[in-house]
Amino acid sequence: MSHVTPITVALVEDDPGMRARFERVIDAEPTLRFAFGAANATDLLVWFAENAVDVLLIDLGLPDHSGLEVIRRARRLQPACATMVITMFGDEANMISAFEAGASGYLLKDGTEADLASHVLSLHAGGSPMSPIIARRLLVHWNARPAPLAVPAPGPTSEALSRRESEVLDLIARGFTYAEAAQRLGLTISTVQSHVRNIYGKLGVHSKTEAVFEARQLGLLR
Amino acid sequence: MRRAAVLLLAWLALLGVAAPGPAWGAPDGGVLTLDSAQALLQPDGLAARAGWVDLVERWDIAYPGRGGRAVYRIALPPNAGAEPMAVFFSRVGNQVLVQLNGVTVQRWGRLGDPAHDAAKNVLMAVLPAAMLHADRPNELRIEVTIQAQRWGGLSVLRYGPQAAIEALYDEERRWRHAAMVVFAAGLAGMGGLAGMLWWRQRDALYGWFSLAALLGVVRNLDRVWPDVPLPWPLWGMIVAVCYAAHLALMCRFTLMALGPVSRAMDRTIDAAIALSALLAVLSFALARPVLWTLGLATLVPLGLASLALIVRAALRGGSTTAWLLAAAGALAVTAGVYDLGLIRAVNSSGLRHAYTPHAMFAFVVLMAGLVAERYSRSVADYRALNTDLSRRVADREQQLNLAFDALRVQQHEQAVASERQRIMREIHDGVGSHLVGLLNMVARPGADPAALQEQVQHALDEMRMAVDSLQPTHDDLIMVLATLRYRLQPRLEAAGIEVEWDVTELPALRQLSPHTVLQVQRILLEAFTNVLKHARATRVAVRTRWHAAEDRVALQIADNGIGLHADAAAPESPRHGHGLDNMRARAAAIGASLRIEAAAGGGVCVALDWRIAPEAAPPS
Repeated sequence: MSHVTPITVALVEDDPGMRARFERVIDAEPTLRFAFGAANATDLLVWFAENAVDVLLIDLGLPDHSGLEVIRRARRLQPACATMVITMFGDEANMISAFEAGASGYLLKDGTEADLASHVLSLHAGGSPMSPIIARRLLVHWNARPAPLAVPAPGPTSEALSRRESEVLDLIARGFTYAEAAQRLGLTISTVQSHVRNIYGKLGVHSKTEAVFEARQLGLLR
Repeated sequence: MRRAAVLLLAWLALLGVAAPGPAWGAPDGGVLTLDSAQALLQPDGLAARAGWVDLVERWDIAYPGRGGRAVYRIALPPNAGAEPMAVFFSRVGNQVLVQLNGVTVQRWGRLGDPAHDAAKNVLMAVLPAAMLHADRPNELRIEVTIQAQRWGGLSVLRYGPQAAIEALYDEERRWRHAAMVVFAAGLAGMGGLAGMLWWRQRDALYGWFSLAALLGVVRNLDRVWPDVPLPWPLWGMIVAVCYAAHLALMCRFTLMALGPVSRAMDRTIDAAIALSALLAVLSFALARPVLWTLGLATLVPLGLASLALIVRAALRGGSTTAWLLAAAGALAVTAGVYDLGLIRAVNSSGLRHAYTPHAMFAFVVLMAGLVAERYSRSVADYRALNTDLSRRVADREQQLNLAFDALRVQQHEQAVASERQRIMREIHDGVGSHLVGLLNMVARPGADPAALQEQVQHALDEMRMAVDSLQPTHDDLIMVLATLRYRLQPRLEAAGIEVEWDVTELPALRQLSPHTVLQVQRILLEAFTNVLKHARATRVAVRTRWHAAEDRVALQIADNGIGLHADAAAPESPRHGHGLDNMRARAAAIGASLRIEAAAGGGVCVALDWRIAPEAAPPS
């Protein structure tokens, strides 16, 4: 074990109980190393500017800045770091905003402690979850139908979905698991996972220039 | 033969008078005005008269109601010049033969044939220089045939070089001939326009003007039309009646232009028209010129009365139109009285002009102004109306918008309030009741950790479902199922239960409100929970079907577990039974029916049948 470099994880979460729980779970997992736990965005960003980590877990509801701003800033500071949202429900509007800000996945808070660690590992390996509602919403988003909710219409820099990606989204929206989707499409699970990751990536693309702009506006970049 | 003798006598008489050698005056430009002649007058039914006549005297006055024949001889001075000379006739009629030194130089009409009336126009006869004696006086002989009341005979004439006479002739012609043509055209045009306006608008003002103007056209045309196809005096009668009506109706038009005309005045005008027309008819029928003069005279008091009314109205109202009408009226009455008193009723030469047609034309101009003014006023009114309507529409639109906004706010508030109510109820019935149950369990000593965990899991599931029910589903039942599976998949996997996911496309369900979604989710969650807790199954099949013919959605969750009967003996069976009742109640609440039956593989099959169209009718 000791010769494998553990995956470093940082966390920003204002609930001390939840923070302690994550720390405990991550420390208990030998392939993970808990690097830093911050209670607010400012503390995290100060620390983050000096220290590199592999995974950053972000709670969206922070007391000082929005979690979305933290994601944008983090993407700018350490593009190699995977930023992941921790959420109770994985609700559509917040998640899509997070992906547009540059998040690469999300983690449901309500799993058991054992689940949490494996989810972090899975996320780092590229296995982002996607709920049927989000899949459906993304299909609507890319089909350029009038967006009924918070998600803006595709910007000019937004990349189009490939046919495979659309098929993956469609199956997920209809309740099929990644494994079932892979079977139906004649793909491996990891290919399906990489499609999902790419879809999230495309969602974040057009927001990157905006992110830099917004970050300057907010005084996060100097 | 007898006539020839008379003519001869007259000619001799003329010579006799001329013999002493008249003092040939040669005023301006060598033009002589000749106002007397040696004449032989032969009125019908009276003895012929020969001798000097004053050309200012009119046949119709000397021999009222009589036609006849006359020969006039005038001695012209010797002329040695080479340039042609000419004679200008201010009035000669009705049929004329002009001879110079016994040679015919001009003819107007055929003597004795009343078809032509030369008296209407000024006339000119050219006398070639070669035919004029240079050494002795020349004899100009004018023979005329005359019809009664036709201004026949010979009036004052002028003699001189053709150039000078032509200038005179042209000027007179312009005044008397061209002006009449212009007036006739103006009256016809304006009368026609007013007639069309009347036809479209049925405004009596236009109608009366049109009639007055068109009647005036007859009179004006008659002044320049020597060859009227109708016989005399019938034509004279027609023209006279038209003229009388023309004048009287112009009075009516003038009064109407200022406002409503009193009944008495209306009657007066009708009576004046009737009387003057009657007098005109009688005058020509009985060959009594004085009757027609009387007929015209009856129009004078009418004109004066009208003028008085107009002036009064102008003084009261002071509008420009009223003053213009008053001026035109005064002009017309003056001209009428002048023509009647100084031309028609007395001897007057053709050099004296009649002014009534000129004065009457002022009304045409006034009418044009009136129409233009009314038109501009209508346009202005329409514009104002348009503006007003636009403003009112805008006002009403604003009111409607405000009302809509208010309604929208109200609806929004109502929707928010009812949604808030629903969420409160869900929290109370769902998470709330589970937490209360949990509190009771924790309070009991020696609580079973497994039971506690289950209770917490229930509370969490309730909360998740409440959140999921608020997510937009786009009327998609498959989405609801998929979301539930997404939530339960880790637990099903942990329990080693394989899911057979057999869902087909379903039509959009309009009645998928958050409340309905939550009920469906609860039914399905209960079914899954039963499978997880009681069935001891390894496999669960989820199947959806759409039966288009019956507008029915069929939804099945079938496991391969131990089935209902074996489970009934389990200690949890009362709760299980309670759970099934709950599922049925929820199904009924959304208008669906629920069946719980044995599955083909030995387990339990929960089947939900949902009739969705046209209305969510409760299942029978």
